[in-house]
Amino acid sequence: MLEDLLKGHEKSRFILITDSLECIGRHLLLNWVESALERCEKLFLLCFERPPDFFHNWIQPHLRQKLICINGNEDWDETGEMTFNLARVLEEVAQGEGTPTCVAIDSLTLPILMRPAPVTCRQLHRLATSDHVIQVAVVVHRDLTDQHACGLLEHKATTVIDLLPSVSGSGHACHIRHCRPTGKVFKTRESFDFDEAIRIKRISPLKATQEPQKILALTSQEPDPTANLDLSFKLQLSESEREARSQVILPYLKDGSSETSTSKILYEADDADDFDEEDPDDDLNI
Amino acid sequence: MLAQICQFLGVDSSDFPLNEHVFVADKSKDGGFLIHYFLNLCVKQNRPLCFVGLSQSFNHYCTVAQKLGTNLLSARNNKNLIFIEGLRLISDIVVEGKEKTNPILQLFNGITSPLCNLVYDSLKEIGVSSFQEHFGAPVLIIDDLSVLLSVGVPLKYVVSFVKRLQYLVTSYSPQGSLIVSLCIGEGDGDEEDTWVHLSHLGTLSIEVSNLKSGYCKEVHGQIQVEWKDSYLKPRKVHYKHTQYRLSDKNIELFASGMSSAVL
Amino acid sequence: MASSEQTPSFRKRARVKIGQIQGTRPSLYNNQLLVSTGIPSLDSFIGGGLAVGTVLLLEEDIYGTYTRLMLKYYLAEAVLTKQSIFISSADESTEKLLKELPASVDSETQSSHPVSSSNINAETTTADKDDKMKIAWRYQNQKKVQGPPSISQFGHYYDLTRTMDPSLLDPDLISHGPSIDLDSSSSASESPPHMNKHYQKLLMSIRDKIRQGGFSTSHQAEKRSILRIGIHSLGSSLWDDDCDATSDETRASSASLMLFLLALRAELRSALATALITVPAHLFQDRAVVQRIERLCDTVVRIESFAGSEKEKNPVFKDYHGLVYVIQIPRLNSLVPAQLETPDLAFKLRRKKFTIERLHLPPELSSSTEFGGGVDIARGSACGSSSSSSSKLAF
Repeated sequence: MLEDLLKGHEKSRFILITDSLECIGRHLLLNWVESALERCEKLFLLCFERPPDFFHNWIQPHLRQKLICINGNEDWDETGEMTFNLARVLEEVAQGEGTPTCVAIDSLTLPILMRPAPVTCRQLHRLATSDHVIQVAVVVHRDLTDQHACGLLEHKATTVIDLLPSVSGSGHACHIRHCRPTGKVFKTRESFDFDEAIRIKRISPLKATQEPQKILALTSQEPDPTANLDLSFKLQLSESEREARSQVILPYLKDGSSETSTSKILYEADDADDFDEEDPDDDLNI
Repeated sequence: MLAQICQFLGVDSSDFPLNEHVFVADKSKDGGFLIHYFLNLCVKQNRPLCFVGLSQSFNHYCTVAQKLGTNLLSARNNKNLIFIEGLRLISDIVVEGKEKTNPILQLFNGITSPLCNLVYDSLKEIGVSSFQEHFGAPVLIIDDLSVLLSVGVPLKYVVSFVKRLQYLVTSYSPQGSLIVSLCIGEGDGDEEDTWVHLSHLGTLSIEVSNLKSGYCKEVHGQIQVEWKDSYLKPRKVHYKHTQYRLSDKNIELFASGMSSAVL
Repeated sequence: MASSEQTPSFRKRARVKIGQIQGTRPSLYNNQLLVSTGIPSLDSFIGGGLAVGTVLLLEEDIYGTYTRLMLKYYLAEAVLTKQSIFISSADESTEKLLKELPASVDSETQSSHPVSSSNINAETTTADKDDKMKIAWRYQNQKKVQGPPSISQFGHYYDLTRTMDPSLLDPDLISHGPSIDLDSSSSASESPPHMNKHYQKLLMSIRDKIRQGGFSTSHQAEKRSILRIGIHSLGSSLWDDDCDATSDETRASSASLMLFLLALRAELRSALATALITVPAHLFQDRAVVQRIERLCDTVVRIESFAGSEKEKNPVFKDYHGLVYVIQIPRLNSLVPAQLETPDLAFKLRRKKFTIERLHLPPELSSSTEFGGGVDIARGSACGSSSSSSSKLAF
């Protein structure tokens, strides 16, 4: 599904990429921008977090003239403050009536921070439903956006790609929910990786064993100071060892079931032995 | 101390940081040493440096720099360093009659221009201006941002202030670097959220925290470093981790479990 | 100084340098100037004393009794060392506070008259000094040498049964903070919307005192002195004004307090002054707010008293009146604080001595506890159950 979406085989008007600090969406967005440039005539890229050059220099040279980067940080209002809104992109897109256009935004977090979420949603909706806009792809940071705003965005989006760190260490995993215009809903889980040039490769369905676990509080809150040391002996117990330990009967435990010994002690008194009938423990008060 | 940290980060001490937006989170009480590291490193490289001190006075940094072998007073006199006494600015909010024009007070309403202009003018004083090439990539250091949150500046304006600083620092040629520190108290929601914002915006985030197992004389804490996309090029995220022990003039860095006390 | 050229006692003739301000001494760890908090045992646990230019935060015990007492020791120390005082309180009259300062323990046995009065009457000394000298009879007729006057001693002990002689309090050296007008309505004021009026007035008067009293570090003078600022129960509800009541976020209302602390820090960093502030931190619901307050002060000590709590009955604590937590020591002008270890501390209040020491178990208990049980005990858990009853086997 991811591959189809990237290549444009699957149509989707509004792709929402959600990421977090552990696995950022910017690299996926880069790849999407590059493949979208093949399919459209103009792509407007609204940058808030990295400057336009970041994207411009990465895209292959023959595609660059189709890419129009708008620096979201250069949008000032009358008081001289940054507005962090989507107005400029809306304007530019509106002007290009008739040309197949795509829009990308990195990222939506600052606009949502600065103004009420519904305003941003409405602006996105207008973008996505403009006739000549083929596709809109937007990155949103899950760890910075509240549930309400996330919900609003997910509702509007035709495709939602949740990026999650892959359990096996390298690469990323994603959960995709895609709604076709016909109404059919697809939910897939896939994993992918980037090469050295940050180009996507190795997209494959996610195996069950690679499912990233929800990061809840794991076993215990108490950190184990012995965990990272290289000891030459084992401090932990395995299950069988634990069981064996619980079976051991401790000496001196009076459980009444121990066999009384049948051996006797025979003592023959010496000449020098002095028998004292008193019990020496008499004056001990325990 | 400078050499050890440069070696750990894997950077060249003669030009780091270059085009970096470094955000430092201090979750222990010791984390200030990183600010001293950046301050001393940049002064030694003779780069134009603007330091906004929001939590301590200039003397504090001066005295520590002396121990580390740098003379901040002469750097200031030679116009390589300009120190904005943010502590004074904040305390002026309380002084009657000075509030109207106080740049930090304006931040409460989301007006970041006065404070940014102050930074811009300060940089101009030491010869850094957008209109001409100058020698040495400028550096802007802010210590520390949590003071703004504490006095009541809303989170979104703190974030937009940092965004503006990022924009400002990259508007010069050669592009400058930004270093911001943030103290994070345990369970402090605002500060934690600000940190997540900064982590997304930055090119390098460094987190200093205590050991989870509590206080230890030999190991004071740990440092977690995350390299993200640089400002102009994507790069693969990679991490580094170490434990540290501070002394009066130096720092010892060692991998977990490798402290000399343990071995 | 009382001149006694005839006696052979060695006296170093030194010019009065800035390092020889009355009642101060240099730190052993760095080159900071320290003053005593008035409690010598506390001084030793916070790096030798309170550094000039810093703020000591005392987080109050539940009823504030012990921290109020510690404030009095701090002020008494100022009187004895002839330092200036600036005191403010919303809870009570500061005059009343000053009338209750404890007398120094030495003042009974040794004449503690200010050195300026040079006619020391030999007959006012106590009886034992009048004993005829039998062996050193040649010195009998010499003028009595004044021992080093108590003002140069660092840290004194105070006797709570006696109040300080009011004549020692020099009104020129004492300033009172602005009174809190509890009935005043919030004027559509000159004060900024984020600033509590009372804190603002307090800060302005501290600023004025520093400037007018010549305590600013840029001020040039031959003879310097230290200003001791004491603020009682800052942050309690009595300091609130209407501006805080309107904000429903507790964090917003504490922002005024943060502003005040920052402004205070800004003033102190360029002044020969120290501040001791007591704050009822237990009243703040939000732990994060308390942490922010702590961060904005330099030295932080929390006092926990056993009065009225379950710990009062715990046999482990029977020798003590409460626990002391040294939460923070300044990292001013250095990478590391003066001392890193903060052991479990407890305090006990005797009539003539307020001591803070490492928590150690009373003798009857220490024999029956397990090795390493000391850590648990400080957390208040009761140790071995049969320990307190006398056991015939106990050695």
